[in-house]
Amino acid sequence: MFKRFRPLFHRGRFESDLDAELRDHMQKYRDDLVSRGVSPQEAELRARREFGRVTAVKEEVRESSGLAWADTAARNFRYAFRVLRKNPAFSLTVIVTLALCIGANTAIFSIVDAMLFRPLPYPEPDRLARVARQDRSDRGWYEQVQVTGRTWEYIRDHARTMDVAVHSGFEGVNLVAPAGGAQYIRQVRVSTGFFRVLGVSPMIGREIAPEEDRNGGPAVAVLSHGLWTRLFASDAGILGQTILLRGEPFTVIGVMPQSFDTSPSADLWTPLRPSTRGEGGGTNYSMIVRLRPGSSMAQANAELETLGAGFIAENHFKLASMRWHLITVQRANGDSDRGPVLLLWAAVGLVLLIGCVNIAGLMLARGGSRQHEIATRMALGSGRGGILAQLLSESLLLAVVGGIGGFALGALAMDALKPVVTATLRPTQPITMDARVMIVTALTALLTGLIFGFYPALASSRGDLIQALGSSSRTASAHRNAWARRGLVVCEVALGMVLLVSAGLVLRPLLYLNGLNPGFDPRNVLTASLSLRDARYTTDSAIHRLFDTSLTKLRETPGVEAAGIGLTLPYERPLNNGMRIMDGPHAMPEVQGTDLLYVTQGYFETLRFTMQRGRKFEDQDRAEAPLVAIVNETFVRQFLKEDSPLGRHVNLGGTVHEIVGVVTDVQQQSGLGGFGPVAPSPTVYVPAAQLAGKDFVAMHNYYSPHWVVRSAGPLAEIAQAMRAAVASVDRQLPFAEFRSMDEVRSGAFARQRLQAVLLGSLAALALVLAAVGIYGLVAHSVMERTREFGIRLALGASRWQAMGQAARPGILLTLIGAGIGYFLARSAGRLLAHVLWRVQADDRTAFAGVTAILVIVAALASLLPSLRIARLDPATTLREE
Amino acid sequence: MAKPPVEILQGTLDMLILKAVSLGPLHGYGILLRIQQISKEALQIPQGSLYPALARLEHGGFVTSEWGESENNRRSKFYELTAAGRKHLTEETAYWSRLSEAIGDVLKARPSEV
Repeated sequence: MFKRFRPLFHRGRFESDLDAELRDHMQKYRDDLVSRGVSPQEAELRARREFGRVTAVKEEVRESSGLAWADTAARNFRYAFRVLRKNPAFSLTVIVTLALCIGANTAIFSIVDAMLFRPLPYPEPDRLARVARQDRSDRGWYEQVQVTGRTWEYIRDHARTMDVAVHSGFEGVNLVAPAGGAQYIRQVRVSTGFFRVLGVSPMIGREIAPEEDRNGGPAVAVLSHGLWTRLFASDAGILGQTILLRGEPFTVIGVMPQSFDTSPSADLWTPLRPSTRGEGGGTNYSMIVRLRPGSSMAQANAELETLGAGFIAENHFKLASMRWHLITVQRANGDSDRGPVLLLWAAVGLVLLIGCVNIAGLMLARGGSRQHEIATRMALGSGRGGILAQLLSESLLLAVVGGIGGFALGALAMDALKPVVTATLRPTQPITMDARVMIVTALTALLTGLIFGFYPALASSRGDLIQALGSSSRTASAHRNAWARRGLVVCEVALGMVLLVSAGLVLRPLLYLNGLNPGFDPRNVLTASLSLRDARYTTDSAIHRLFDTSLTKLRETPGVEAAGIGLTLPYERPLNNGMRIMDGPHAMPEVQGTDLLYVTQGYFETLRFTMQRGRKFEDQDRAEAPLVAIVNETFVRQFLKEDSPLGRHVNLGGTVHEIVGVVTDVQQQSGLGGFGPVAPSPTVYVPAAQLAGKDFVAMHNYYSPHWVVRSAGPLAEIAQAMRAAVASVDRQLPFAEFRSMDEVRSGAFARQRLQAVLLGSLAALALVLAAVGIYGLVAHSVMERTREFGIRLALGASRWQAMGQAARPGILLTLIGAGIGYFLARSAGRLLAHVLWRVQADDRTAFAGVTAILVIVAALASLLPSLRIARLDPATTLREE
Repeated sequence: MAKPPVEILQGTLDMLILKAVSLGPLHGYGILLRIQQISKEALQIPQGSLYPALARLEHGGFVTSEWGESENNRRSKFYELTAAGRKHLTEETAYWSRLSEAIGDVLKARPSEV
C-alpha cells in the first residue's frame, strides 16, 4: 500500500528513474534500427520522432503515478513562499500575530487539558468515577463529592455494577524510618481494594487486606515508589519492616510501581478503617468506583438511583430530596476551578479570533493591491479555483510557520508559568507539552489559516477583470474591500473591549486584596508548622514542654528578635468555636460562633500586632492563674458594641475567660467573616499555657501549630535554628515547609492573582492586536491616498487638516467598536458574575478605564501612520505615478 | 506479405501490457516488441504511450518494477505481474472474449437469423 505513494516521498529518485528508463528505451530502439541496417543518424532521428515529445510523456507518467495534485500543491507553496518572502513586513506581522495568538492558546490549552480532559493514568480510565451526593435546596441541586460512613457502607454492601473503594483526604504526618531521621510526609488513608479499583497492583508486596481495614486490625502501610527510593534506598527487603507514623509502629506490606501516582502525590497509604461514627459520621470520605466488566455508566447510575431510594427508606429520612450519581474524577477534583479555567479558555479563544480578524484585514488590504496581479493571471487563463488554491496556500503557509512559532512560544510561557499554575490550581494531571497539545495546536493553526484566508481569497478572486486590468495598479483596490476592512476593525475593537473589561473586572478585587491592611508586619518573619497528631503528643504536658523549651532555645539564638507559637496564622483559616458572653449589657442567652486560637507569649510581638486596649499575655497567665483572653476589634464591634470589653467574661465551651486586652484586626480566611478570600472576623486569642486536657490535644487533629520567628538574618540560618530548637526537645519531630509571612500573605490570594495576571496578559495582547489592526488600516489608506493628500496639500490644505482626515476613520471605527463592545462586555460581565467578588458586573470604573485606554491607544495607532503626511512633499507625490 | 498495422482500441493497451508481462518480467521496450511479435506486427503501439500506461498499472498495483540488467549490460527497468494483476488480466480477458464474441455475432448475422 505504502509503495504506491513512494513517488511522493522520493521525488528526486522518481525523476531520475524515469529519465533513465526512457533513455534506455530509445537506446534499445536505436540499436535495433542500426542492426537492421539503418544509418546511426537516421536511427537517432527515427527514435526521437516515433517516441513523441519526452516532456509530454513524462508529464503523463507523473499524472498516472498520482503525482499531479502534489505537483500543483508544491508549485502553489513554492510560489506562496516567494510571494511572502518578497513582502517581509506583511509576512512578519502575520506570523508574529499568529505566533502570539496560537502560543497563548497552546499555553492555556495545556492547563485546561491537565485539569479537565487528560485521561487518568490508570487502566481503562473512562470506567473510573466518583460517587457524588446531590441534595435539593431552594437554590437548585447542591452537589457534594464526599460521603459519610453510612453512605459508603450501604453502597459497598449493595452495589452490583461497580467495584468500590473509599479514601480520606491528604494529611501531613511525621514519619520515622528505621534508618533514622524524621520526615514530614503526605499520607492518604485508603480502604481495602483502593489499588484494585484504580487497576494498579503493588510492585512488590500486596495491597491492604480486608482484615487490616477493620478497627483493631494490624497497622500496615504501602509506600510510594518515590518514598521507597528516597528514604529506604530502594531496599527490596523493606517488606515486614516497621516504620513509625505519628509515633506509632506500622508494618510495610507493599511498594507501588514508579508510574503510579495520585493527584496530589501521596507518599504512603495506610488502612482507612471506615466507620459510621467519628470521622465517618460526617462527609469525610471520597468514594472511587470502577464499573464491573459488562456494566455501563448508565446501568451504574440507574443502580445508584435505586440504592439511593433504599437508603432513604432504611434511614427514614424526612426529606426525600437526596440522590446519588457518578461524576468523572476530573470533575470531582477540579470542580471549583472549572469556572475560572473555562473562562480563561474562552478568553484565549477570543484573542485568537481577534488575531484572525486582524490578519484577515491585512490579507484584504494586500488583496486589494494584488488585484492587478490576480486579474492578469486570470486573463492568462488561470481558473478561479486555481487562484483560490494559490491564495489559500499562502494562508496555510503562514499558519504553519505561525503555528510552529506559537507552539514554541506556548512551551516557553508554560515553562515559566508551570510551577505557579501547578501550585495554585492543582491540576488532576501534570501539565505537559506533549503530542496531545501539539495536535490541538496544529489543528488550531490550520483552522486559523482557513478562517483568516478564506474570505480575503474569495473576495480577491471575484474581481472584475476588465476594470482591474484597465485601471492603474494603485487605485485598483475595490471599495467593497475597504468596507469589509472597516467592519473587521470594528469587530476587533468590540472583542478587545470584552476582554479588557473582563480583565478589569477580575483585576479590581485583586487590587482591593493587595491594598488590604494586613493588620500586622509580615516582613522578616519566618514560619513553619509541626504536626502534633502524634502518639508522643497526647498529653498537654508534652505539648507545653515542647512549646516552652523550643521557644526558650530560639530566643537565645543570636539574631532572633522575637519568637512565638500560634495555632494558626493570619491569612489562613482559623478554628471556629462556640462562644457566649457572660456579663454586661450584651450578655448572650445562646452560644455564637467565633474564631479561636491559642498563642504563646511572643506571638503578638513577633508578628507586631498592635494592642488597642488592655495588656498582652504575660508570664503571670499560667495554668493555675485566672483564665484570660484577648479579643480583636471586630469581636468588640460585633458582640460588645459600645460596652467596654475589658473585664467582661466569655465562656469558650466549658472554660470562662476574662477579656484583658483588644488587638487590631488581621486578615484571615473564615466562614464567619465577610464573603471573599480574606477578611477580618471576630476572634478570641487565649494563652496556650492556660489550655489543658483532651480538647487542647484534639485541636491538633485538624490544625498544626505554627512557630513564628522574627529576624533580619538569612532565612536558611533561622530555619536551621528552628530545627535545632525543636530537636533539643524531640529529635523525631520534622517541620513541614518553611515560609516567610510574605509568602503566606501572597499565597492567600494566589488564585485571584493568577487569574488576573493571565486574563490581564490576554487583554493586553488583544489591545496590541487591535492597535496593530487600526494602525494597518490607517497606514494602508494613507499609502493609497498619498496622491490625493498631495493634491490637497498643493491646493492649500494645512498638514494638520490632512493628518486629521487620515486619522479620523481609525478613531471613528474605534468609537463604534467600543460602543458595540460595551453591550457585549455587559453580557460577558454577567457570565463572569460567579467568579467576581466585591465588584459589580457593570462596574463603572472598569468600563470607563477600559474605554479610555482603548480610545487613547486607537488615537495613537491612527495618528502614527498619518505622520507620514507631515513629511509629504506635494511636488514629488504628484510627479510619481 | 504483412497485413497493414491496426490502431489499438482505447483501453486495450493496459490489457495487452498485462498479457505481455504475464509471460515473464520484461522491460518497456521488450513489452513493445513482444506485443508486436505476438500480433505478427499487426498491432502498432505508439512508443510514448507505453510509459504512462505502465505508470498507471504500477500505481494501481497490477505490476511491480525493479531495475535489472538487460542485453549489452544495460541497466533497464523490468516489470512483473502481481497477483492482483493476474486476477485483473483474467477478468479483462474473459470480458474481452465475451465482448468480441457478441460483436462478432452481431456482425456475422444474416437476414434469415434475425
